[in-house]
Amino acid sequence: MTSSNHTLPRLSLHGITKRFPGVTALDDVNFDVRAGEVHAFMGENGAGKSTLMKIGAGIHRPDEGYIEVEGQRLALSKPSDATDLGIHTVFQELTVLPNLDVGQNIMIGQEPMRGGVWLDRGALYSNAQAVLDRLDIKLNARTPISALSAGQRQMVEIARACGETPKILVLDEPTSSLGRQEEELLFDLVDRLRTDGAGIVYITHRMSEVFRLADRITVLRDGKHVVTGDANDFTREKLISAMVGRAVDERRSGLVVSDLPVALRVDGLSRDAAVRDVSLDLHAGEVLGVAGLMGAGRTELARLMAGVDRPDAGAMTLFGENYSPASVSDAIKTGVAYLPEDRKTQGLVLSLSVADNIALPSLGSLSRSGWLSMTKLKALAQEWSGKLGIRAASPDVAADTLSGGNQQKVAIAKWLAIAPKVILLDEPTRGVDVGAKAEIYALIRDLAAQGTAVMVISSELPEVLQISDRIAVMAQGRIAGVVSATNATEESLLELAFTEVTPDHEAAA
Amino acid sequence: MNQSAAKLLRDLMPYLGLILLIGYFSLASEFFLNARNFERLATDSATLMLVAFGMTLVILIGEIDLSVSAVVGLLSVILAQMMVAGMAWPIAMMLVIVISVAIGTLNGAITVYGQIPSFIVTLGMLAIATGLAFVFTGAISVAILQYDFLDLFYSDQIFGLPIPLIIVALAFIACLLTLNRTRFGRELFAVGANMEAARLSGVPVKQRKVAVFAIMGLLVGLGAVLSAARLGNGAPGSSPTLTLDAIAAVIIGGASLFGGWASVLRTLLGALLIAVLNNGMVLMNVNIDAQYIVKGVIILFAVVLERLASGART
Repeated sequence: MTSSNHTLPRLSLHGITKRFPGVTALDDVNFDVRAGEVHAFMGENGAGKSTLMKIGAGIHRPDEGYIEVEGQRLALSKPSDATDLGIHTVFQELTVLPNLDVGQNIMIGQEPMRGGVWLDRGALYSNAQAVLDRLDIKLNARTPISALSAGQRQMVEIARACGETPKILVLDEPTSSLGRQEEELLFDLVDRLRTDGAGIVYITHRMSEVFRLADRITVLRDGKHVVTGDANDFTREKLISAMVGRAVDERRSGLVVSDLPVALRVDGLSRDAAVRDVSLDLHAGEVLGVAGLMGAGRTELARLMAGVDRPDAGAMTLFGENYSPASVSDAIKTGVAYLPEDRKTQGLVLSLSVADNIALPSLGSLSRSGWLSMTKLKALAQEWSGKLGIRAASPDVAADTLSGGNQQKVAIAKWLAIAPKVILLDEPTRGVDVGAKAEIYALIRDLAAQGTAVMVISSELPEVLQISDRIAVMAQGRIAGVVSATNATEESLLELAFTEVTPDHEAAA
Repeated sequence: MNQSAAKLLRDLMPYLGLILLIGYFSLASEFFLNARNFERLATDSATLMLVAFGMTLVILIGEIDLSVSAVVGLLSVILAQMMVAGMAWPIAMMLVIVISVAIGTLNGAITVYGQIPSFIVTLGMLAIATGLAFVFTGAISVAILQYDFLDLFYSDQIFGLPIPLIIVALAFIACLLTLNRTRFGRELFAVGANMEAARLSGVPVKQRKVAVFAIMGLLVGLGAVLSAARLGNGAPGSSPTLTLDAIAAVIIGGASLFGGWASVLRTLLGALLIAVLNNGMVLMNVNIDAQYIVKGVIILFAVVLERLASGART
C-alpha cells in the first residue's frame, strides 16, 4: 500500500463543487484513487457520495473543479466518455437485463459482428466466458439471468464493467442486496481486481466491509470533504465521529415513558427481509423517533403498522385490543394514521383541491349512507387549514399550486382531521424550509402533549434527537436498540444504525 | 399554441362546436331545424348519451372500455331472442341488464385483479361479444314483435317528452350527483389522479374501480334496451360507431385521458355535439365512411388540445 503512495493517481477529482437548485451538493471536494488500491468512500445519507460518483461517471458535470485521469486533465460530458477511459461504475440498482443470458449481458454494446451485420454468437459466448474465467467467476455464459441469484447478478454486473480490464471500478453499496456467502464471493473478486492493478472506489454503509477491504478511507459530510487517510489509522469510533461531526441541538426534556399507557404494541412483526422480528411499544403521549440508514426497514415497519402492507408473521395490539388492519381504511377506523414519506406521489393528490385532499381520509365520517355533506367538508378544510396555518389562496385551489412546506402541512392536516390516537409520520420535514420545519416540530410536540402516540421516522439525526422522547434505531430490518433521547448522541445512534445482525442460521450454529 | 390559449379553446370547444354545427346544418339542410328532427335526434342519441356518461366515470379513473359497441350488439340479440322465445319483455329486459352489469363487472375485475390494462381486457371482451352475437343469430337480425316494448321505449311520451329522453335525463342527474355529492364520487377523482395516494388515504381503490365498470355495465344495458327498441330488432353490429362516439363525447368534454379529471355535464355537451354531427351528416347524405373520418379528426383534435392545455400538469 505504501508503495502505491508514490504512483500517480489513476483518477483524481480536484476541488469539485456541484450545486443543484437550492442546495450545494458538493463543496470543493478532492478525491483520488490509485492503481491497485481500494478506496472506501463513506458518509451519511445525503452527504454527497452519489453526486461525486456521478461526476466521476460523466453523468453530472461539476460547476467548479476538474477531473484528471492518469495526470491528464479531462472533461467528462457523457457516460461513454468515462467508460472509454476505463472508468466503470456499478450502481446500487442492478441494471442487468433479466430477459437475456449472462453472455449477452456482459457483451452488451460490444457484440462481436461478422461481416458488419451478423451477430457472431460463438465469439460472443467465448469472449464472455473469457471475461468470467479471468475474474474467476464461476458462471456459464449461456445461463439465463432469470436463473441467477441477486449475488450472481451482481457478479454479472461487475463482469460487464470489467469486459475490458477496468482501470477504475466504482462500486456503489454492492452488498446491499447480497447474502453473507455472496458477500464473500464479492470480496474475493474485489481482492483479485485490486491485485490485477485496478483502482477501486468502494461506497458502503457497512463498517465491517470497510475494514475488511479498504486501503484508504475518505469521509464526506454535508457535501464537504472531512478526512482522507489510511484505513489502518481509523477506528470504528473515529470513523463515526468523522461522519457525524456537528454539535447537537437542544432537545426535549426527559419524559418518563414507562408511566404512559401503551397505545400500539408491536410483537414479532416480520415481512420479507425488510422487517425482521420487530417488537416495539408506542406509548400514548410520547414521541418515538425511528432512526436508521436507508433500507433499514423503517418505512416498511410503518406501513405494516398502518395497514398498507400485511405482515408475514407477528401481531399487534391497539390499547390492548387485537389490531390487524387489512387495509388503510381499517387503520383509519381504529384511529391509526400514516403520513407517507413522499408527499408528491403518496401523500397528496396534487391535482385535487386543498379541501378535497384534507377531506380524503375523512370522507367516511363526512357522509351519511354515502351522501357527502359539502358543508361539513368545507368546514373541516377551513378548520384544519386554519389550525396548521396553511397558506393557500383558498381551500379550493389545487394542492400543486402550494409551496413544499404548505403542501406538507396539507398532507399532515388530512391525517390530523381524522383525530388519530396513533400517528406515524414518515420523514415529516423532508423538502420543507426551515420555518415550516419549526412549525411541524411544534405540531408534533402539541400532538404528544394531547395524548396522541406519535412515531416519527427521520433520516436526520439532529431532528430525531430534537423531537423524540425515545429513539428506536433500526438496522437491516431489526430494532438494533431503543434509547432515551436524553442520553443519546448522534454517535451512539449511528453506532446502533451500523449494527450488523448475524443471520439466524449462523447465530444458531 | 400556448397553454392558456389551449385551455381556453378546450373549455369552449363543446359550446363553440355545438353552435357552429347547429348553425351549419341549419343553413345546409332544410330538414335540420324543426321539432320533429330534434325529437328524433334526442331519441336516436339516447344510447350514446347513457354510454358516454358511463365512459366518463371509466375515463375519470384512468381506464377505458372499448367493448361497448359489441356488447350492445350482443345484448340486443339476446333481448330479441328471449322475446321471440315468448318471454315477457319486462323480464327479458331485466335479464339483459343483469347480464350487462355482469359483463362490466367482469371487465373491471380482470383489469383490477389481473393487473391488465383495461384497453386490452375490453378489446378481448369486444371480440368475445362480437363472436357470441354472430353465433346466436347466424348474422341475421332478429325482429322484436312485442309492441308494448317497442312503443314504451320509442314512441310513448310522458309530459310530452319521449321516454328515452326521460331515462337519459334521470341517468344524467344520477351520475352528476354521484360524482359531486357522494363519497364514492369524490373518491373516484382521487383514484384517477393518484391511485397510490388514494390507497394510502384509505380509499379501497380496487373495489371502486370494479364498481365503476359495473355502473358502466348498467348504463350499457339500459342503452342496449333503448337501441333495440329504436331499431325494432336485435342485431350484431347494430351500433358500430358507439364506442368511438362515446369516447369522443368524453374527450370533447375535456376529460383527461390519463384520469383524474372529467365532468358529466361537459360529456353531455360533447355527446350532443356528436349527436348533432351524426344527425346532420345523415340528413345531408354524407356517406358512412366519410362520417368516420370526420369523427376521427375531431377526436384527435380534442386529444391534442387536451394535452396542450394540461401540458404543465405532467
